Amino acid sequence: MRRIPIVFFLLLVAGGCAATPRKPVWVPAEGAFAAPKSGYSVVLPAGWTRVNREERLLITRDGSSLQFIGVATYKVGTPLQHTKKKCEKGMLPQELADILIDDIASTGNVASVEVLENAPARIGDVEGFRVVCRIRFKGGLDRKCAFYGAMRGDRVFDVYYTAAARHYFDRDLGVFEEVARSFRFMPPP
Amino acid sequence: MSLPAKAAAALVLAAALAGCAATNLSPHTGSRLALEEDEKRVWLQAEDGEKRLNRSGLVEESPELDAYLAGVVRKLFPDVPFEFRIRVMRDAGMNAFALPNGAIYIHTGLLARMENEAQLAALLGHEGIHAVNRHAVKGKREMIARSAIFAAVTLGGWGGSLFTMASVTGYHRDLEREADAEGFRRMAAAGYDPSEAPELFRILGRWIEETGVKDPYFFSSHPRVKERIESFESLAAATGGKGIVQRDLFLAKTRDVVLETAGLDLKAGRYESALRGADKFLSIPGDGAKGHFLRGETLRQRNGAGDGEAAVEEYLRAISANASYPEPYRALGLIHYKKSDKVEARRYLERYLLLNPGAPDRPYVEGYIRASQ
Repeated sequence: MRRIPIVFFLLLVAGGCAATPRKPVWVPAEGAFAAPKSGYSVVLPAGWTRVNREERLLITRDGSSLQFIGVATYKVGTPLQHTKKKCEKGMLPQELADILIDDIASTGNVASVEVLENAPARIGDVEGFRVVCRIRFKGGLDRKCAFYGAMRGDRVFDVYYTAAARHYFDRDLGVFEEVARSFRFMPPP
Repeated sequence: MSLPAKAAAALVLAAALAGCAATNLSPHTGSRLALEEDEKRVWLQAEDGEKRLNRSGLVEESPELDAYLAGVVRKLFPDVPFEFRIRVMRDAGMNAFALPNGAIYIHTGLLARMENEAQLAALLGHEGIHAVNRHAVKGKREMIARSAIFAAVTLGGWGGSLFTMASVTGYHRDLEREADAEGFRRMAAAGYDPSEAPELFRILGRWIEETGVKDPYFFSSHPRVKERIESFESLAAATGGKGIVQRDLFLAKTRDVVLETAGLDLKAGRYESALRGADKFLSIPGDGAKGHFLRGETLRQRNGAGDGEAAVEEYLRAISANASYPEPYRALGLIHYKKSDKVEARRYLERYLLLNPGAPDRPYVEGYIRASQ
């Protein structure tokens, strides 16, 4: 699955999913969610809704313009969407984190990215990283974003949360941490 | 005459009058600023836009650079009744634009690729003319006029929407040509070397070829680059003579912008542009540590044949240039760590933390040091 960058998930959903002909259908999110082809499963919170698509996870409570949590995976050696950099085998978690941050910073409508936290963290059973950053958009809107990431096999997994910097981010950060704790790798099909 | 035909005729007349009103606007020169009613609204919008841009986090906070740029534009426009404000926006693209109230924004990418003050003067001459010659309000009036023509064309049944669209592009290009020609005259009158004006557009043209960008803002609806180069070459040949180039001062003032743009190129994975930027930075007198480090980072991340070894050399050069600059120690520490060369990894990483006790990546680095015990 091609990684959909965090900051563009919002535009994709809010814009009626311009990349696909179908409009997203939102369904209650609560419970286990498995994406076997992508190789992971998570447990989703009550009171949130999910875009009803196989393999692509995106959930929100108040609407995707206010907050959303998602999981993306992409193949090692494939250029990211906004930076031409690639994650390669043998990279340290810190190097992976830097590439994902650069991808956000290279997004056309992003004015600046301020990294607030960047530290080693486990995701599933793999050593990875956890990053928190503030993203300022050219339109002046501030959002905060937290994401865990790790490489496993030939894939990079990215569990992310983005919300309006004011009020929403702090309010739902705990929910995101619960989702991240529930993340499990699944064996390849 | 049928009713639709009368309406069409009336609208064409209105459009013609609006067009005359637009073209009769005299430039803002002299000591007194006189704005027309619709122009006041355009300026208010511009002031609002300027405030938003300045708060966007994109504008460089560099009073010294701002003052230098303002000094250049004052040489070009000593006779205008408002203050130009030149700000630099953090963006690796090649763009610049003027707001009608005299605020001019230049992208770091454009400034970083220029070579001297004469080229900057060519750019500021062009952008400044947009404000002085009141192109925004002219454009707005033209748009209103065109709307009337479009309505007339539709009512008259000429089926001429294509004609209308062509005229839209044509008028805009005329304003750009005016900005090119009058900006050039300002540049030459201020004593700058006229032959540097076409060079600015050659630089822009090379960037378009390199990046494959189809429609950068600076060129959208502008006359084609090749055409502009030829036009400036003719103007320069007709003007003749040499003038001020001011290379060294310009490069000294924009040195940090060159490094920052190279850093943006690296973030975006444009390794060749990043290397060119680092090389340019290193060619300008000053502490080269950051330039060598950027070269090292670019080579390491590009990871082509021989890049790893070349990166190590660049990191060592960075340390030679400034032994208290922490970043190359971290880079060397990580290289040794990945090679399981624990002693060297620990030596460089401990040095890094010593020089940068508040390092944002301290948790990672402490982990590498522990694993290297």
